[in-house]
Amino acid sequence: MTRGVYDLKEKMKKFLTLLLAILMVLTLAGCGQKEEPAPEEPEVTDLTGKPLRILQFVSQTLGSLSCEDLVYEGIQKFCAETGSTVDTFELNYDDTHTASSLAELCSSGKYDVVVTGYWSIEEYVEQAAQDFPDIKFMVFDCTIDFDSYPEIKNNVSSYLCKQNTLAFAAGALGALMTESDLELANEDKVIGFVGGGMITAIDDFLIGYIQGAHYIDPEVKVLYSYVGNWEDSGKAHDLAHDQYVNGADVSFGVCAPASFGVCQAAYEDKRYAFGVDTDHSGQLAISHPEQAEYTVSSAVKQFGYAIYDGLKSIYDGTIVWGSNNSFDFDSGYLEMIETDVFNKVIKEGKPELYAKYEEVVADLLAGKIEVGTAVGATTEYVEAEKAKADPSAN
Amino acid sequence: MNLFSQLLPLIFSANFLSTVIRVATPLILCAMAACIGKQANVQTITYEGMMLFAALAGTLGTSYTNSLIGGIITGIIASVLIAAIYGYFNIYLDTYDTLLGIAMNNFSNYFTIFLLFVLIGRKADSSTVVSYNYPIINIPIIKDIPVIGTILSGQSLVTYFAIISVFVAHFIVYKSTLGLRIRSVGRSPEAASSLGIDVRKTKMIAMLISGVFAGLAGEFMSMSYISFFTKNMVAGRGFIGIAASNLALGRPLYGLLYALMFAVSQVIANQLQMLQFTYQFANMIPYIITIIGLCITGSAEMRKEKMGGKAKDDKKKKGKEEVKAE
Repeated sequence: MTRGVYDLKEKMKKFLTLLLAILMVLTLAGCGQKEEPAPEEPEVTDLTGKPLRILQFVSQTLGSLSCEDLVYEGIQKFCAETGSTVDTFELNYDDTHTASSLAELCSSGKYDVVVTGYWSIEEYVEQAAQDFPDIKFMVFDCTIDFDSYPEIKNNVSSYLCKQNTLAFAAGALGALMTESDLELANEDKVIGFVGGGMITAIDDFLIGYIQGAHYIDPEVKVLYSYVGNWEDSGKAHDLAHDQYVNGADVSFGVCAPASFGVCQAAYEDKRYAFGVDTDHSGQLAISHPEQAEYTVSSAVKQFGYAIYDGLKSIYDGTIVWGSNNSFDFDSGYLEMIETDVFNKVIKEGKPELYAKYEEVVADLLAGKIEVGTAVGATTEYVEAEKAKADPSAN
Repeated sequence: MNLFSQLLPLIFSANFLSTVIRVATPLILCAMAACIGKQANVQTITYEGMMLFAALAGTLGTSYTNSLIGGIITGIIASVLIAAIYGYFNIYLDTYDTLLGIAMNNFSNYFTIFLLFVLIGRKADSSTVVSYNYPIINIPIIKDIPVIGTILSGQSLVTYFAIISVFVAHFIVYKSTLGLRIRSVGRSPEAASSLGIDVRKTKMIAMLISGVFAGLAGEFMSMSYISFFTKNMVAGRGFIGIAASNLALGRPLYGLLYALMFAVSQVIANQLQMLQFTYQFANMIPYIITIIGLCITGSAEMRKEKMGGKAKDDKKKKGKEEVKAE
């Protein structure tokens, strides 16, 4: 018995030694490769009018109902028109590989433009842009600190959608709905909000939502809860259900893909819901048409259009690098999509409600309304704004 | 204090209890699965993975077989399969259980997404696939009674399965020959083996039974709670079920009690959030209760051992040494 164990240990030792040796050789080989100057073609600084080689560096994953899919669609449209090519690389939420993967892909010399996004990517892009000045970076849903890194002004451009104004429209629509005599609306002036987690982007949504609701009627109460992640659709369902039971007529689920739980709760409690990022009711209509009826609209940040336009401006040679482009409601990149359900319930069902909503949207478009934001704001400001959610408490 | 007075009316309502029952359903089923596993001394954390697979297989099963029954069976088969794989590695090949459990859970998390992508080309949810749900059961007379009606009637079919499962688990563990074998294998495999019981086989059977319960728990997630699969939708419920079974020391009836306790704390946490109570703290409550509960049962066990089990312990130690010597 002991003899056997000993043998096994010996074998293990030998195996491990071998493994280590192989690893070392491989590492050395890897280093060797990197030190060699890559056989690169002449520097392409002027990309005007040429087909681009694009890399979409996806920090999350494609096919997950997030903005990444919209961006991918936008890039594909651009490729189809100009003969450009696109590769995608998915990190699958693994932040530990971001820096190394980005550096490796950039150094491959295969790409002219890197499209990537989300707030978590900021530092990595700032670093990579310094290391690879020949590659252009287009970043969405993220601000780049150009003041600290002036040298990256030549090859980085960021696209930001003001989600607070989008949520403002949602809040206004919600408040109009709770005050209306819509079929499923009750008498309480209460609306709900289910966020994914207490992060800046979600709080930005929430602040806009509260202000939008109070723009219509300062007495509207906003119930808000956070799921704590983006996956627990069951919990999102419970939180929305609690809001509906406590008088909310509509709940805004900002936690895709878990926000489908909010749609489910709306269906079960016979109330209304708003989705986020993609057309929730359109997706539900394919498989569960009875549920789709209750999801009135979805708040969508069309980064696909923004990136498409950005790429187009590279192609046309009109792009201005080194800027944080922040898109407001008038850009057309932000919309509360008017789905079939929206048309049925709001547009045709309650024309006078729709007219009022249109007014708010027109005001937003004209830039008449100043919407508060959590981006770059102090914690005190965010907390103070959130405290206004319940007007009766103050 | 103000918060408390706001919370009380929310808690003492029919809605609160009916929500608790809905939240508790997967926890109860998973706790039963874990109770049987614990009785056989197969300490696994793979229930999370089993549930996830059952959730995916169940909802896709209904759509491929075009029937609810087909989906239920596919889901349970998937879960039992994972249980069997775990059992084979752990019981027959003696793999270290925690590591294997972590590996299996990660495998389930990503493999379900992979399957989802291969089968329907999506990576986050199956919302575009037509699927069936467990029916909602309205009990004829009870549903008309004011408060009790809202609580007991109008729940998903799985919820009633969950309640039945507690008695099934209790019967299996305490009233059946198989249960006696499972318990003896769990407590003292050497003794059981000396009486001619195939220890590994019995453990495997226990594992497969718990796979069935975990499968139902998973199906509840995607066929009742929500009408389709979303990635990683089990979100830690498997672990809470395991905690409940550990608090209950593997006794199904107590398992039910602890699962309900977790559900209550979860629902209270949800209600607190709505009252603008700090959300980080509210989300912590169920886990704090787990830790406190584990401490209490742990210390109670220790006291028991100190008081009555000294002589027994000595014997046990001797027994173990003898086995080692062999």
